[in-house]
Amino acid sequence: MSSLAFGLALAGFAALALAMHRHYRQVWHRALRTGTQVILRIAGAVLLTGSFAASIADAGWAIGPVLWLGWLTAAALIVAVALTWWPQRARRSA
Amino acid sequence: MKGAFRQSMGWLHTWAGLVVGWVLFFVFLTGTAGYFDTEIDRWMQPERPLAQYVLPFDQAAAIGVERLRVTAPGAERWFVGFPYYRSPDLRVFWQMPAGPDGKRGPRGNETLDPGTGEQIKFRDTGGGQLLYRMHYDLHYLPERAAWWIVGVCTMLMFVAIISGIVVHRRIFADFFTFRPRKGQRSWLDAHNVLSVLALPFHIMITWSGLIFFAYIYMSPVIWANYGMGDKGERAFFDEAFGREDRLSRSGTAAPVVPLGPVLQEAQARMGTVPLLSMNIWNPGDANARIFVYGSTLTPSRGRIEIVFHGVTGDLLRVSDSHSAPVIFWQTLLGLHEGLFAGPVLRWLYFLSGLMGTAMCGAGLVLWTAKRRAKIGETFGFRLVEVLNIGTVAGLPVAIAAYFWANRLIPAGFEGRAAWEAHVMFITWGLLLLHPAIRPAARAWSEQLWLAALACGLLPLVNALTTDRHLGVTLTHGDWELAGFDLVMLAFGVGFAVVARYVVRRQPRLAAVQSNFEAVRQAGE
Repeated sequence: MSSLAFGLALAGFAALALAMHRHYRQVWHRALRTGTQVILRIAGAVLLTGSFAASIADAGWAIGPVLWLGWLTAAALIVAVALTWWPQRARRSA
Repeated sequence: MKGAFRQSMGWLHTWAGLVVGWVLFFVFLTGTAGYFDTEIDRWMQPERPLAQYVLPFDQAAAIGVERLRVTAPGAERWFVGFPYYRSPDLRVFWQMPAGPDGKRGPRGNETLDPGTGEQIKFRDTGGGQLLYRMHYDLHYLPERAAWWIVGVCTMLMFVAIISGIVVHRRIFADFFTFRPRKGQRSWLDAHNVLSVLALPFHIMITWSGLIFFAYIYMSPVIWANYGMGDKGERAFFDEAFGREDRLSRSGTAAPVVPLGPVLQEAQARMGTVPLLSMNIWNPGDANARIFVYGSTLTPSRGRIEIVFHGVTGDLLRVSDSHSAPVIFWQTLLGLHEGLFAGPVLRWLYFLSGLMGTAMCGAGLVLWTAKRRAKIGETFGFRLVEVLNIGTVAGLPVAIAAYFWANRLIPAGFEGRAAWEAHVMFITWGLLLLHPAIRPAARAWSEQLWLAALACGLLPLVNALTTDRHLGVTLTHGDWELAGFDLVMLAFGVGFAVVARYVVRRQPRLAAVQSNFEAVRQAGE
């Protein structure tokens, strides 16, 4: 259950990050379309909500929310680090 | 209007943060270490047994009480702490009655070997507890003075957080943004990411920190309602926490009831919650009371508390229900301390604490990065830079030195606990002087490499001085002890990576400095 909450948070933040023009271009090397952006945002919200539910299932209502916030921090940090050092195409300059 | 407000919030954020930034770095770093204070205690007392057996609580209670009967008859209170996953030892504590002048009586504690019931003698050390307490007691200062200093700094931290949120224009757009190798922009990105990604933690930790000592910072409220001084404070706490069960000694001797059945009943009523500890008030007297505690369940520090009559064994009360303000207060403090956290959540607390520490450090360095070109030669700038290097790089070295001292000062040395702390502060003092006599870039590099060695070599020092090193702790599965060495190794590697990064950027920094010199000379 623990790793499920974390995995969903990670996926959720990845989706929300990719729903931003700057980060989408970093990863896919083309422009983000509005339709895709909407889908990614909804997916991100759903995944983060799922992470919340998994945290509550894991640790109850007293500790679950605290655990969820902790997972969010760890997940967002990993997504930020991954995007910072995402491999770039050879022909693009740094 | 909006622009002016943002600007003034920016000014407020910079100055509130800068003036107390170094104290906050110290508070954050020692406080973060505090989430593993019990584990650090165990590492710093290598004479303690490895985590091997789990002792049932009724045996633990019997052994503990037997020992207390010998060491502290006539005590006001006996405490027995049963083994649990963070601390597999059997702990006893006693408090003797207050003297006729109202002063607290002497107290003492021992750790017992669960197998023999004998006291385990280990080296005198402040341990992880001392390191953790420094984050509000500081050191070398009277308690209350330190609490006031930390309180003022915490309030400024709170101001910095709120003003920081107001000032951060692109808080969502820059949520995941970190652009390395871009000088000042990178430091700003780092400061922002570290702040925003752990923002719930930062807000909680700062505000709950203030609430901790609110009864001191806002003592006129208590004075007005309960009277001044210690008496007023006691009256306030007695009323808030309903201490009617605490009776004084009657003077009539009466043996303590056999604990086995009492504890069995307590465990039955607690269900799956494990028993954590018990207090026996007025042991050996007719007014004895036994308080049995279950594990801390939740952030509201709600632990099940069951009270028995100490002579008859009758059940008197299960859990007190506190008033709403008390529950609110306890929840905030519980969130701050994180005692309720299991292993996974504890590591998440630790991560957030490290991010908070780095947030302070990044902010301090950002201040210098932004102003080097304009005021780099002024006394004020140099002072900030020296304090930055000596604290952001130097304090971790000092804390590592605390652990080195624990291993290198002989176990029987008189006053070694105090000297471990002296070593830490002497080291920090030297590292605050060092940047004053070295060029900034070199000072950074030297101290960061020193941090890498001080942390990374600690497991080796451990192996050379004790038999609680990785070779033993990993094979025995004592993960708390092994974890300490492994985390130190990780910090060593981390500091080495940062040190390399600084060394590589040195040519850039030197270029900026020489450019500045050239411009200045051209202007003369």
